[in-house]
Amino acid sequence: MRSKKFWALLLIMVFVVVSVVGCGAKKEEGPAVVKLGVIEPLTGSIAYGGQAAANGSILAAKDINAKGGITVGGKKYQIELILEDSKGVPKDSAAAATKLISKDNVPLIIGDFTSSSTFASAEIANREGVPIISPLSSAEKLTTSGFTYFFRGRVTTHNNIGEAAQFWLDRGGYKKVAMLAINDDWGRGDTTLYPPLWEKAGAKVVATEYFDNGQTDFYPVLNKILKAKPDMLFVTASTEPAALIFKQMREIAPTLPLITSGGIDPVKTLELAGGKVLEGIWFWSVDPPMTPEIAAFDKRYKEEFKVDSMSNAKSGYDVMMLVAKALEAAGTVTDRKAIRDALSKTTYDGYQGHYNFAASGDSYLKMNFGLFKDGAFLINPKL
Amino acid sequence: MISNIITGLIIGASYVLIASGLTLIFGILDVINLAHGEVYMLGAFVALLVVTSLGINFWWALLVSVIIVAIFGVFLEKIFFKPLRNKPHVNMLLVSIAVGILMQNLAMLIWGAEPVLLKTPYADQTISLLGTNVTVQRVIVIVVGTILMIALNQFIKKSKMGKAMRATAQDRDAAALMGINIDKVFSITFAIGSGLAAAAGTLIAPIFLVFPTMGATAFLKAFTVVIVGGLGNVIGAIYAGLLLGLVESLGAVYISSQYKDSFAFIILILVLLFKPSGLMGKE
Repeated sequence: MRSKKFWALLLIMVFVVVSVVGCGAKKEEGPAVVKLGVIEPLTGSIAYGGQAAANGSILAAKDINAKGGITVGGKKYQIELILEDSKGVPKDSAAAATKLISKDNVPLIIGDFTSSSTFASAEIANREGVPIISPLSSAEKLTTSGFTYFFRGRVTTHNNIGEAAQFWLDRGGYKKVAMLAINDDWGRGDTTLYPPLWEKAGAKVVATEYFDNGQTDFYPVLNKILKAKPDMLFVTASTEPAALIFKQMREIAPTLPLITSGGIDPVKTLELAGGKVLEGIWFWSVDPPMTPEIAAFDKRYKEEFKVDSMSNAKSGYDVMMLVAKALEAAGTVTDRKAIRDALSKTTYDGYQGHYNFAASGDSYLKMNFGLFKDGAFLINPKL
Repeated sequence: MISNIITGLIIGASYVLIASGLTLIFGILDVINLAHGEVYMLGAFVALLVVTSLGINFWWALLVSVIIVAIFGVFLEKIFFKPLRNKPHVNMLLVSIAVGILMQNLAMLIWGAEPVLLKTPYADQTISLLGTNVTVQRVIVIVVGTILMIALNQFIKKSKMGKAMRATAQDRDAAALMGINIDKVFSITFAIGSGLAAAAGTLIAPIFLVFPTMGATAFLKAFTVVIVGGLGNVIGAIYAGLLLGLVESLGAVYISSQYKDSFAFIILILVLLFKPSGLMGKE
């Protein structure tokens, strides 16, 4: 009995000593660290794009740290990212934001991917007064819901749609457009924003259909769309469903013109659907035309993560760099209000274009037009 | 209209392939194998693996995938289900859920969550069928599916092993007393059921994509087909599978495409209300 007590006491003492020593040791070694939260879908059906964005931010943090970190108020800080998996589910995104804010006490969050998830975490971050910047979400309501702490680091539909709506129609003088969109905030955004503009330009929307996340069989819905006899189908979908929709549509209607809104990664789409299926399909491209700097980034990304780079990776990278610049300008790594104010004034030239924010936190990034041709794709081709 | 019927029959054929294995296993196990969707997923991944690493053509990949997954099915039965044969049914049900979760997550660990495409030349060729464009791959689903179903039916009806399987399904103890090797019947049934699921996974893979969670929705549809067709009834599964495919395809076009997935469950509820033993089930 006594020996048991003795051992228990000894164990407790060892724990206490180790934890005290551990704390002391941590405080003395290395430079100061600022912890930032990253929320992306790292598993699940849209993990491909979510991981790319997270990897982009990781790479940017690595670059910053390699140069000695950021200088805030005359002191050097290393950046440490805390990754949270939202699985593309709004409630998981909200839980991740709560955890990052209350447990990890982060001064800023980067994330999330899908607009529905971002809305859930932005609502919490805004309530708690923590700046949150999404490198990927484009739904308009994120910046029209009064979230003063939300910022967007992504090209949007609503700021480019006037130009885009006309551009799509001009590709074939289309008069009868059918729309097929994913059944979420982004998809329903497209189906409410485009039709009035097209009607003004003299075209009519003859069918509007939706599909669910994870759907793979599109033949029935495509048959239904064909019944409305459109002269063009406009698809709002991310890479995997878009590839399947194109394949299945080309099978039952080999010549119907197809156009897609800004959710696909052209490289991965080519891999999944093949050049023959995609020939002549126009798409909204987040990526600007290729430059030597972008090529260098893509190469380095591939070496680092063993997967192909994509626009999401560059968005993740740009946003991390932008955040670092804002932290330096704010002169603090703890005062969330000051960081928010600095972020709203920050501008940055990244791989995806020129970043600056509207008063609402919205981005003014410009869109680009892409065209699949001969098993490859062109960005902003000469018409 | 004709194109919708063809679309419905093709998707129906894929439901039949998954459901027939599931209903067969139910027949002798008396329990729904909830890991069946994951066996289907495994079939697609094995085919993908041999096509990309060995560079063999689609037909050999189909054969290899069926054989490997059939052997896997036998091991599954020996390791997880045999020890529970005389325990309450709920134990086996829970174990099959666990096996399904395990397989899905292992697949995610090994191959990643990202969807990939199984490339075949047949997915790009299209032919005209009664005025409708169809890829050769989708015709293959129907043709191979029909051949497999006829073969399975003949095997169960005519062969000695088929008779032993039916006897075991009716009364396990009596069959054992008549000198039937029960262990062998279980193994063969699992091999055939898993092999059919692998065939379904491989045939569908070039049309849809291959990813670790592909078995989940496929299983739900197959489960509906099994119940609608009558538990343990292979012929019933064939009719129910084609019916479901047709209802989904026509319902999506003429009623609403957003309710496409709910048609399956509406049929399920109607059958459970008015003919609980299934369309082809005996009282």
